[in-house]
Amino acid sequence: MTMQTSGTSLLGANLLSEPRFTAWPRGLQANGNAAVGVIAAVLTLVWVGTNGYRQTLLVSAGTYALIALGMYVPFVLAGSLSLAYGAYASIGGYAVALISTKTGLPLWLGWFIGPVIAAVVAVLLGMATRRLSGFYLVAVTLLFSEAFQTYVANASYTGGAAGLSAFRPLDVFGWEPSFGVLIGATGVLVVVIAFVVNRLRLSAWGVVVRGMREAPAAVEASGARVPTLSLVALAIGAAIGSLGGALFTQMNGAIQPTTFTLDLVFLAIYMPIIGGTGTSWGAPLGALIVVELTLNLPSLHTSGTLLVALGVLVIMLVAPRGVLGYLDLGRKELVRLVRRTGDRK
Amino acid sequence: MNGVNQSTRTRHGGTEERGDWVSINVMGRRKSKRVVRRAATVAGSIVAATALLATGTAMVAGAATGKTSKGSKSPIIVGEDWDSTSANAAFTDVTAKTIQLAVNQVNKSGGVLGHPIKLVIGNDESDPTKTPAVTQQLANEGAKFLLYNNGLPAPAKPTVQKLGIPSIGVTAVIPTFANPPDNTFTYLLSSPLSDWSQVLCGAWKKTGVKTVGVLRDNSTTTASLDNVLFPTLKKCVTLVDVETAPGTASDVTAQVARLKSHNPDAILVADLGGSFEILAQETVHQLMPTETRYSLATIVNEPTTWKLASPGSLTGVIAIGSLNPNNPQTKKLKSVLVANNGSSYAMTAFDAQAWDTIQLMKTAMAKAGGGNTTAKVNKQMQKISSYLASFGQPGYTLTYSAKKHAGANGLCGIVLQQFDSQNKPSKAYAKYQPPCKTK
Amino acid sequence: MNDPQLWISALQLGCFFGLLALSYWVVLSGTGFFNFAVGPYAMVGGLCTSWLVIDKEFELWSAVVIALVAAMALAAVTELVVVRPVQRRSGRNQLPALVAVTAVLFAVEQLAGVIFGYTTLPGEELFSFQSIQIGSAELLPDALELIVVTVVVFVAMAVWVRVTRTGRLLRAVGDSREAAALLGLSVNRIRIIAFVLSGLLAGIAGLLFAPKAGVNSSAGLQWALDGFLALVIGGTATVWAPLVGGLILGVLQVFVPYYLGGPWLAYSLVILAIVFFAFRPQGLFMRTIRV
Repeated sequence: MTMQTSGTSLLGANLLSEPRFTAWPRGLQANGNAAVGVIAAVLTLVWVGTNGYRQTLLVSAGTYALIALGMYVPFVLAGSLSLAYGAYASIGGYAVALISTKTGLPLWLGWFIGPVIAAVVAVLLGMATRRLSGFYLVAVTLLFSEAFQTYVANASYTGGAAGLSAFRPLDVFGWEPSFGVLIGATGVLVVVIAFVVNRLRLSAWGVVVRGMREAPAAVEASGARVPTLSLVALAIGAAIGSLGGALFTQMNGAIQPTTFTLDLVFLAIYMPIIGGTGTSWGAPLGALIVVELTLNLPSLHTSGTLLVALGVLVIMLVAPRGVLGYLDLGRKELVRLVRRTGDRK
Repeated sequence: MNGVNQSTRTRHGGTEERGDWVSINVMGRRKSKRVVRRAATVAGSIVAATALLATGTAMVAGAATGKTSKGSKSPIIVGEDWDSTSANAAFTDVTAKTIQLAVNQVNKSGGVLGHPIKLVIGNDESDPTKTPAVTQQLANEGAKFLLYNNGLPAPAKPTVQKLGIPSIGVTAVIPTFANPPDNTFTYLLSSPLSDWSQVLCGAWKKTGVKTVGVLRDNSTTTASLDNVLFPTLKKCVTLVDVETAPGTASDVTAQVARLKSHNPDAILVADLGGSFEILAQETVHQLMPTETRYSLATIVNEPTTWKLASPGSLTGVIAIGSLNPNNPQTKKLKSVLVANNGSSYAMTAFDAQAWDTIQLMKTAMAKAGGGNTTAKVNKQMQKISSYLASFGQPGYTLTYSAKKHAGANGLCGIVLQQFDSQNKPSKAYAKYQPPCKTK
Repeated sequence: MNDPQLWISALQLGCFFGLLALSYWVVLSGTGFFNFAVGPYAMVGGLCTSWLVIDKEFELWSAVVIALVAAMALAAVTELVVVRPVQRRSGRNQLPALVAVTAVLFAVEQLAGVIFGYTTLPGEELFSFQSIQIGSAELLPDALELIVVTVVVFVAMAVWVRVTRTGRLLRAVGDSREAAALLGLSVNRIRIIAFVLSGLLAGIAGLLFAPKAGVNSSAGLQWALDGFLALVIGGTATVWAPLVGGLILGVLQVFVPYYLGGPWLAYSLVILAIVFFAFRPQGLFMRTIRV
């Protein structure tokens, strides 16, 4: 079996039969991707600067990126598609909102409580849907999203359908960071999470989780328990997704039950597909592209969602590796070309 | 031979050599396939890189500000956040059309001190997560005045405050937009909700309604509206039951049946208008044909929605509206609208508010000596006094000040309109109208 | 419980969901795939008809034919351009095709908004007559039409599946694609027939349901979910199972809010789904395969 460095592509022909392992090139690839990601993030932050409009775009992109990264963990690793991410993002957002408006506790606590609650909810939901896969899981998680939205719209402490607003400013032990600093922190947060998720994917744990989708018996035989692994993946994904909700709510100062809609969740699935499922960096890249298409093309009065949907179809049919996948392949082809010409001398 | 070369390799070159070895020995076809695939991937990656580059450039270009033409006087850029793609299009489209008409009229008669007004359009799809971004986008395009033609302008307030651009919520009724905090630059035309409560309570007291059942949708706008309205309504009637149904519901029989079991004196329907309102009214009409029905919704101003209703199902519905055909300003505007849109044009309060918004903006800009100094324009907005509105009872005026950002003067901006047997709100409710102090 | 209007509503909703579920069933039987895009097909059936009649002043029945053809064409495109290539590429993995079909769902939804507009249009009544009084309740003509057509369609489908060659092949191909191919059956032909038929059924459903509360371009997602739930409740064993599932879902949609209040519908659906899927994922009617 050959050792190749390309990441697992969702639609790549060999995905299902050969988990691909790498030794030296894997480290390089992971670090290479991380380097590109960090550079891209720095460039984006520089481009955003102090321009208010671009700052708003970045917040949206960061929110989408985090939700997409959260969905990526169980989706690509464990092969289970959960649509409950609207609920997890709402949990993160409402945690921040409730702490801010209903208690006197420090705001940053909301950022910790939200992910914990989301993880617990994800584990409970995961246990209830353990035996489901594919369409059934999608349907149940969709219904769960609607039930959660209904609950939040009817509960008295969440402000009902009107939601919550007018938060206290974020204050970390007395220091109130300015909006510009928070924007920078957004970039850092997304980069860190993408990095961590990619490391997880390439780590021994990630390999085992990916393996359990294809050869559960082998994984069980090696001592790891498949159900526990899936639940852990779900919990991590939910926690990351809820960070996206917390981010958006914090930066916009308001949340309603309809803030994190089902449409957003579907967009979040499409982001890794557009950006490339081979690496977790595809999710933030896809988020940037989607934000560009849905928020930043004033010439089109029609919804950017149409472009995204059509784009996803085109990508799935024609370029299944996504943008980063193709860049990665292109890089390798160039390297090969160079090597070949070198060899011929 | 092949077996030997299938030893594992860890370097990039490994696969290629093995592939070549195999291809030389066995299948030339495999080699040509590899070449094709390689070419495709290189091409693909070039496309991908170009796409990335294009996206990056577009992001940069998208933020470019508008240019002014040389020669003629530079246009004053006015931004309009027009939600044309959500369910709110039922009323935003009408508003947008009349805004454009009003701007055209202003430009035809010389613009603001010679400067033409140029509208730039954004669309936040009434999504509170998009409103700040669209506001920023319009500001980036050079907008010096903002018009909010969507379901809920309030989410824009923090951004508007930061940018310091005078803004009007053209058709918004929830007072949040004009109230503190962050309201230095924000203004409303419509009567505040507290006025609505007074009018409804007046009508109910007059007609002996003591218990009311409410049927509403689950939208944020309706909920915010009800949060303001219900406490004051509860002071004059008992709200025996409040039923909520999803805005996209295709059936509300259960909710209406529950309301029926409480036997209220009147039913009040509260929603964003459109198909939900029709469904609600029809179901109430089916299950409680003799019940008195009130509507909080904008249905009175949505001619396209009236067609959705089956014949006679809206007859008798009493709705909060603001058009009295006897108001001379209303008549004046109606003739302009008919001249531009045909004699069968059904005028709505949205037309009136759109028209008045542009007139108010023009007045403030003209008094400030031009539209481009936003601080001066804002100050002049706050000096507008007794502007004769194109809606409301005859003699109704709007006044603004530093402390008063909602223009309504008294209750007579509101007209209780009643639907006739043709499902049209042609009558003014005979039993009660808000008392008006005409100047 | 004794208010007949509630039962009429439940019946009307149930028939609509039943037709949508049947549309899913046809594709599922023929291809083993859940085609979520049936929601938008139904929406197109209703919205296109209304738009042609109202905005373009077409004659009613020509508009109906055009709309149904459009729904069928969309279904064919879904299969040929999206599902078949993606499934070929992804083998056993169901998710890529599922994700691709949701993209189709959104694309159709948005395209419909662009072409037909975003406002709700009233549904077109196919035959006008006086509504019928049943006790204190009123049976409107469009409700009666929906119920009658539903029965007719289901009977026709039951006959078609039993009697015609294609109908019988449908289930054979769906059960095992490899075996069918081995037997020389034209798998691709059956697949495309299944998709086109599902488009027709969904289009009819949307067309008949539109008069109830109007139709707009964003109805597709909710209807897709409703039809899917109805199918899962009823199961796939016989051609009548989707109707039973649809009727049960209709009853739930009306009576749960009536007795427990609006929010409880959403809660009970998710609880029901989890319980159902955990204990009886095959639905109410389990299919035994005769060996």
